[in-house]
Amino acid sequence: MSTYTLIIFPTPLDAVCVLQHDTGGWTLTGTPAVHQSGRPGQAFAIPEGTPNSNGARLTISHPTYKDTVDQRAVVLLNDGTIPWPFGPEQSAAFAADDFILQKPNTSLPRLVVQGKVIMQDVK
Amino acid sequence: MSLQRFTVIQNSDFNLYNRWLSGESIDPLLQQRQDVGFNSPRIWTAFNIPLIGRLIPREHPDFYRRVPEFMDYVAGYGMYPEWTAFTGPYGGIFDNQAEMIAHWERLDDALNGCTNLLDLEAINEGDNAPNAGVPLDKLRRPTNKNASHGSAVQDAPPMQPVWDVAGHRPGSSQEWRKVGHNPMADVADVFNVPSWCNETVRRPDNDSSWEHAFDAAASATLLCSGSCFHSPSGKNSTLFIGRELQLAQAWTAGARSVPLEYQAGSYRHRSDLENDQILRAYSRVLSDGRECVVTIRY
Repeated sequence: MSTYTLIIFPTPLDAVCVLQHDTGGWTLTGTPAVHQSGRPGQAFAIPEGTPNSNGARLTISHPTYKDTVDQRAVVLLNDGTIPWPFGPEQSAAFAADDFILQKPNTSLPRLVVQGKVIMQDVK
Repeated sequence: MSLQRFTVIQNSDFNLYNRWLSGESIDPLLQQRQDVGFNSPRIWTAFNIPLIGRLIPREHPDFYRRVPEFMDYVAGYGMYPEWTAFTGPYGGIFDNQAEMIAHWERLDDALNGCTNLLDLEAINEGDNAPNAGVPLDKLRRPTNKNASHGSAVQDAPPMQPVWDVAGHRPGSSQEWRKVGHNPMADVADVFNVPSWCNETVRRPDNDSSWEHAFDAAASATLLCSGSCFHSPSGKNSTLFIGRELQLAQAWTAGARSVPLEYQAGSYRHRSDLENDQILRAYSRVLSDGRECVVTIRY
């Protein structure tokens, strides 16, 4: 049985990426892979028989990041029945494959010593 | 530069960096510490000690590189960590003094630019036997950050020369009355640096009194630069539960019960207020005559 390979690029690379298909009856966890371009990412081996152009849910998380991704999208399969890339000439499609978790952007005032006390330098 | 007063409301979280570096989620822990009212985890960096954990820097290739990322992460919870470099014993951790010096300098470098650093502390109880052999005199003094040369055993002066700040250990008899007073009298007034007890009697197993926890922390806010709540769950960085949680809440409530403006007041020992209920009474008086009194109950 052949599979379809879907590669995504999470940051950090060791984030836990889970793809749950709406109609295919499967849930996959991404595994380390390298795209043909040389960029490292994670791959999902989508089973043969999965209905084409159906929805799926992708979640991405990492224990040391506060942010998470929870995104729905259509999974397009290059089975030869539709033009590739994803539409007729002049049409456009948004195929998201780059997911970056945002680290908390918090900066605290520096602590400075003033004689026998500690102060916050709030500028 | 615009300065606001600050007090250290610290808790032992020795194993915190280890848990994060190992990929564990520390969000519930940080959320609890913040909710309870703490602002500074005390973090250890090289140890293999039962009931604390195992963190051997050379076993983690990214140990130093990820320090700034960790600091950013805990900043999201308002935390100012104190990092302690050496906390003996060292068997299987450092093979020689050169490795110790390298650990110190790489930690120092890694913390450059981290605005939420409380201080980088060289050693915990430097004159305690398990710390024999640490080349304290060969450690470079950090620049552009607050640094401590290290604490000493109970009732002893801190490691010298004293750097920017200094941790202290008061004697264990009636320790709760000394948590605020002794860092002031024995360290800050002597060396003219901020000082606080960065390890106190472990609660609840060695002192389960709510009043002692509240009063110790309140007196520390008034008299010195803050205090540290020490507990079993703080050693290995797990959630506070039961009586331990109640005492942690008492600690932060006490620490936050004193307006910080009174740090600038003149010290008074209010022995006139002491009786069979009040073990000690301390105050600071501002130049306009306003006074803040903290009582230490039996």
